[in-house]
Amino acid sequence: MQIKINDKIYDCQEGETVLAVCQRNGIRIPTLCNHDDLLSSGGVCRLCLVKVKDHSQLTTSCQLTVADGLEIVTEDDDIEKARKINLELLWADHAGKCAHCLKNGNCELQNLAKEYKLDVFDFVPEIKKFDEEQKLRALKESLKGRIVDNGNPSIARDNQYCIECGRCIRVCTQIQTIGEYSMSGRSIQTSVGTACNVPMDCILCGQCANVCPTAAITEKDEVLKLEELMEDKSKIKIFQVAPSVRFTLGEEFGLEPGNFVEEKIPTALRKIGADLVFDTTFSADLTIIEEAHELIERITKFLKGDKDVKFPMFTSCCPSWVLYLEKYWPEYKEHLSTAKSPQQMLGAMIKTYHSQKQKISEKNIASISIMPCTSKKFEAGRKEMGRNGLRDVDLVITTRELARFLKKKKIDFLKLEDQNFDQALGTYSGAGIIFGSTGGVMEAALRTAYETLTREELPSLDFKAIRGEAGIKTAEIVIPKGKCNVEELRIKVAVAHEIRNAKKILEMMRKGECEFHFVEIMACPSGCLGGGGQPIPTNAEIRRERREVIYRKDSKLPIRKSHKNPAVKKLYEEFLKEPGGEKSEELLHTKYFNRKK
Amino acid sequence: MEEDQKVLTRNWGKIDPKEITSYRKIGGYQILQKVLQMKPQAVVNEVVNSGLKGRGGGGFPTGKKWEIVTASDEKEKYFICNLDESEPGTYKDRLIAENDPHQLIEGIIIGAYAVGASKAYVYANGNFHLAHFLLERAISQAYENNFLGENIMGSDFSLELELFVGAGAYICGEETALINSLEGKRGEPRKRPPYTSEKGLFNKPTVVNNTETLSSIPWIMEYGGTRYSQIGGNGEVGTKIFCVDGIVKNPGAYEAPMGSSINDIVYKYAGGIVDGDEPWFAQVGGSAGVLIPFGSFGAVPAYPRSSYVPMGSGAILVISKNQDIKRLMLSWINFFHRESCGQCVPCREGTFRLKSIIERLNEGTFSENDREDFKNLVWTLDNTTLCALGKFSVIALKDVLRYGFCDELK
Amino acid sequence: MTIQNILMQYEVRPENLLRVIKDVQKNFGIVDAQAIDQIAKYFKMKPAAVFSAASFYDQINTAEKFSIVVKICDGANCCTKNSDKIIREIERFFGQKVDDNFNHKIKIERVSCFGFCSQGPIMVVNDVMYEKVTPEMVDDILRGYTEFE
Repeated sequence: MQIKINDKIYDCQEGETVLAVCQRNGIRIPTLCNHDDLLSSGGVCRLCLVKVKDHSQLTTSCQLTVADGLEIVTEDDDIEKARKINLELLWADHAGKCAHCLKNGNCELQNLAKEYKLDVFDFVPEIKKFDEEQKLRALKESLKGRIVDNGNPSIARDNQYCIECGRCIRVCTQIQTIGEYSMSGRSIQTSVGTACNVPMDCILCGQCANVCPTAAITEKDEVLKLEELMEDKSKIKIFQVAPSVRFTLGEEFGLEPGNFVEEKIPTALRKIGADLVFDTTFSADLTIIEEAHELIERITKFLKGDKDVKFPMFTSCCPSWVLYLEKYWPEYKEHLSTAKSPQQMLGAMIKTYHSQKQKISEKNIASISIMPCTSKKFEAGRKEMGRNGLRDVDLVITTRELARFLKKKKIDFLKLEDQNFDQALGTYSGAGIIFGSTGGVMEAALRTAYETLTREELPSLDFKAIRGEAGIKTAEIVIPKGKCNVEELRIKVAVAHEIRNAKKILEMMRKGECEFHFVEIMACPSGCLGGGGQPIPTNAEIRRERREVIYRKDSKLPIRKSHKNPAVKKLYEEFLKEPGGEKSEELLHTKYFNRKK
Repeated sequence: MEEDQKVLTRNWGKIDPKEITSYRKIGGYQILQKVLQMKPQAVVNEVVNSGLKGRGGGGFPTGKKWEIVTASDEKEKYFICNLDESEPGTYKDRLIAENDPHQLIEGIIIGAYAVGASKAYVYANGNFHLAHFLLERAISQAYENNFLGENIMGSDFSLELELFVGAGAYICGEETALINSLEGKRGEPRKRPPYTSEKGLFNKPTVVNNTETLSSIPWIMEYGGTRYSQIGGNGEVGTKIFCVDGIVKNPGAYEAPMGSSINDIVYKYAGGIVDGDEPWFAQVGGSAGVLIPFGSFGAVPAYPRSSYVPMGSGAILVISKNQDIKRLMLSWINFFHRESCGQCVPCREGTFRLKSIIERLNEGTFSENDREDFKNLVWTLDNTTLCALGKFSVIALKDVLRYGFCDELK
Repeated sequence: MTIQNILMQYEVRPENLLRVIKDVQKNFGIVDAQAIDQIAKYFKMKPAAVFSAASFYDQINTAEKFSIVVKICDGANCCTKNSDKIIREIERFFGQKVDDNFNHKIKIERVSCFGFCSQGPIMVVNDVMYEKVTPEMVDDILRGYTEFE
């Protein structure tokens, strides 16, 4: 099908909106409520207005589906005027708030205001001209209905920045099925928030912060805390950096999606005062050893006739997923692998193995992790994640916060020299690096589980069936007969990302239709590379770019299996002894709680 | 209006609205019996012939609306009577429910039969307490008499009718918002298409008719569509209740033939202008209505939105020469601001800013800048909002500009 | 009457949601977070969705419970009948401005047309409607409410 836009012909597919066609072809149309990942808002921001040729009526391009012979005009005086006034109406509330705002420089509203040259705040009379009563009224007006939610460790909300676009509501309802937010009130009191504006009680995945066009929803900003910690001379600052961060941080400094800035990160962290920079990818390998061991143990028990073994076993790396299960399906919490997430494993190793080896008191260590995730902030604060009243991870900083901190410290990130992670807990395999993508944990686990079960080399390391964008991906791994069982053993696995897909698997379980043995679940779209703490903007295209680099990196690594990671082997020899052993159980495994809502 | 020409108010004051027996004594529900022996399509045809148009203000031909739903193959269909009257200055539907609830119910049953709906609702404004009481009572009496329920009057037709009471929101008078409200959602308008006749309540084909429209139905079925279509003039047919208020001697609601001019209604029905006062203009159709200068009171309200005096709800408010226009403007904008559903930017934020400007106009702190903004905001509300409420909010303000009623805005 | 008692009177159907919300409002004067939670569980909905619907309507109060709520019709009809003078009278009586939200016991608000225009100006105090109100009547009407305090 073809339509005409501004007298030029463009190809399009049935069912597409005019806005989508324009965006694909680089025809500039402003919008604040539309988001590539989400269904239509119903056309609430009224910025994407266009005209059908020879009609005077303005119509929203996000709701206009293409039809044969359709002719569209995207620029004329009326359209310009309408967009400008509607933008100005939103901007009027934001006047003068940018300087202290977290999203300053990366705010969709601010960007549009610049593009449309809104510098005079027409609708807001200058406060200087107010008399006392008017001033008081303006103050009351601005305080009316302001809601600030700092009640959780991961996500912060301040509705003075909210433009009621409803993206957070849609991501939370459509993608994550949590439905924590809704539109409430009417008229100018219309606001987006939780039921009765109580503090949020969700899975803290941070996807709402990812889609928020302004600073109404952000990660809980802990840059100041980091700054204070870095100035604390009494502490040895030990960092860890999650696998996916090295594939996205560059975007914050102007690189295109699909970059790889690993070697700059240790340099940057050392520049701001890090004493040691370890790699969470190392502990991803460690997680695989423990998790694969647990899987094999469950399978062995089952084969020996123990019918109480819980299948499927769920991965437990994603804290939002764990929280989801604890809050909404606590009856299935025994299905979660007891293995801690890589962040917590490395945190525990830093505060036990490393501190003992280096003879430093764990009290003097500040353990800081750089994560793609808002929910990790919550995970690090779980009571069971530490010893003697000390946390294994003292502070969790998201990719976005790290970028803000580096900018604040005037570090010219892209020009930094390349450096390596500190070796002791910093060597990784390809299996660890793919943790950043949906399907990665599963693939890594299968590489190890297969070889452990068969005691043979895998013919091919690439499990293509569980890569890619599909919401649920499945595969079957055949262990030939006689290897670990008299009969042939078929291990059925599934990989899901986004809670809406996880929910499908849980519903299968409830109906008794779930035949999987092992299931990987990540709450965020595409896994950690689309995490709630990652650079904004995000969409399927950006996430695809990020993912491709990850798998390319894996394919080029000399070691691609967790159990072949020499640093991991050394750790077992020196300290942990054996997977699932006493020390591992104590330090690398955890338990889950019923948090039924 | 002559007694024998009355359609809507023919029983008012003559029957006891509390008792079904009173309505039956004057022949009530007899026409229903006749209708139930007709083919549904024949009923629809009669209404098509009558030329009856939706009395809520939209003016969509009622017969046509029914035809679409009648033709649908869907098994589940709904029929809704819109009694969520909340246009300022309008209370005709409330009076219908208070004075003759059974004629309304009879109209609903006939409509539901014609389109093949087995479930009907009356969505009533939350403020109409007396009407709720009377309707609730009338519905249960209708059930007792088997005018509602299973196999009505021995026919194959069954119908359930429920009263649903709103909770205060002007926008719920809009049919898609009303449906959302009934479904337990926010009363926000839906995008159209799909139209309610295809996907309405619970996504099933649904008819939403105004109370006044439905109350005309028993008369039309009794005397025939053709006879109904002969009432009226000036291109509009039937009768209508006009709510007249302002500087008239006898404010109130009057049934008059369609095609009556403002002058007819003000002088023939409402007793003319109060002594010693002089009209400035009239607002026809509630707060979303146009302003008609005194010199043009000979004009006739009609349904097309493009007509000189769009009918709207049929309310006529006659404004005195001594009225402070700025205060009136504030009342209009306050209303639309308060009732904005808050979904789209121009309506939510625009009515708020416009309200601030008009407040400044009233306080005397209106600036040159404000004059420009006023015009820009009026334009934006007129042209860019998601539903018609934005357009409605500036109809009167546009006329203030047009006729130069406000010196500061000239 | 508890919220549970109210809920038990209604089947779980979508059109009963607003009815329940109204019933709770009528019995408790407010639909608060706890009520929203219980209603949501009963209707198997998300609390945010229930709140979203409830907070949409004028007659549902999800924020604060006032002991005296005075509503004055702000429709064009009542406005032409000098409803402003009545508002001034009410403001004087309570020493509080219309639409202010800083007094947690008393609320004076301008509201949309009630549809009783021919009997205007209309004033509603705690759900009781007063018709053809004149500025002189305000004192008498309001004293009837404050003296019970």
